[in-house]
Amino acid sequence: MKCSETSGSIIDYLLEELAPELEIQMHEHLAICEKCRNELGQMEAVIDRIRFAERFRPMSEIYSKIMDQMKPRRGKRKWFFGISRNLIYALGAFALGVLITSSVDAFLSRSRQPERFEVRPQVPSSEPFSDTVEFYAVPAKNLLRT
Amino acid sequence: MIEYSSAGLFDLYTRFKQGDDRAFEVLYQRLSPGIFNYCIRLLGDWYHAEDILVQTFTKLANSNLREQGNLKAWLYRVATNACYSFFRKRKTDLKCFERQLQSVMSDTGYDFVKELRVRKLLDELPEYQRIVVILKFYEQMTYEDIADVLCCPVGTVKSRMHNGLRKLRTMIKE
Repeated sequence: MKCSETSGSIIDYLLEELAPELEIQMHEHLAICEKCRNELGQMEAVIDRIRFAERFRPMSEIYSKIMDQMKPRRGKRKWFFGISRNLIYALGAFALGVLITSSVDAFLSRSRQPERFEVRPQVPSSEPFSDTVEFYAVPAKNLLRT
Repeated sequence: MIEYSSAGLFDLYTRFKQGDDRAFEVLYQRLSPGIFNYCIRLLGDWYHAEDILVQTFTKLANSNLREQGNLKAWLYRVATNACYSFFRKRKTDLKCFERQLQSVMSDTGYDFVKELRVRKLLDELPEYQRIVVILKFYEQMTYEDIADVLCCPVGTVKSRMHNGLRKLRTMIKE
């Protein structure tokens, strides 16, 4: 194993995330390479610095807070003769829609003015009827058989 | 007699869904310290960490998970998403965190000076690297588990970890 190969694996080696055969190779390389040993030491110091921190415990009231928040929603209760809540909501929304549509329609029909019709006596046309009929003269030769 | 201590996480969740409140309590006792610590390290805010813990477990209680997936990873993902929405709203205030720790730790005897030193270091990392570092060192998760929490490839987790630690090393050197 070369130094260029180990530098990428030093962290995984420290975190014990290396494959067993790679771990052995790393171990062997570290035994002979001081530069990589130094890098390993530096990384170990970084990890030590952040790893050993306090472990907090949540307050005991938190659990009762969770219980308070979840109780109203737990279990789908059946409402009104076993019909589910969602179905009742859907039916309610539908009924509300019908009510709104019909009331708007009633309002519009009431506010609309009825159309007025005017009956007028039919006046005879002032132009006289034409009493002449025009005939088109058909050339006689077209009627004859040749 | 049901053995709660040896039951798996998903078993406990199923029992709770069947109406066993004790199973939820056991689930909470097992997972809440980890999630709470994770949120504190990530946010640097004690009270928001508590809020997120409540949010996460309420979501678990109201959820309807069917697949036997990784329940722990699912919980951490919920907490992470809640933390992200906190980050969008505001930045961590170190002085405010110090005051919170002083008020909380006076009764419990925690060493808050050391805690603040670590907090300062972690604060220098971008959120995506901080999450990986915290999950690895404080929650002792493997790369695969972290990838499960963050819904990203293992390679991404590794590169974030390497870059984060190198950044920490340069900061400590300086």
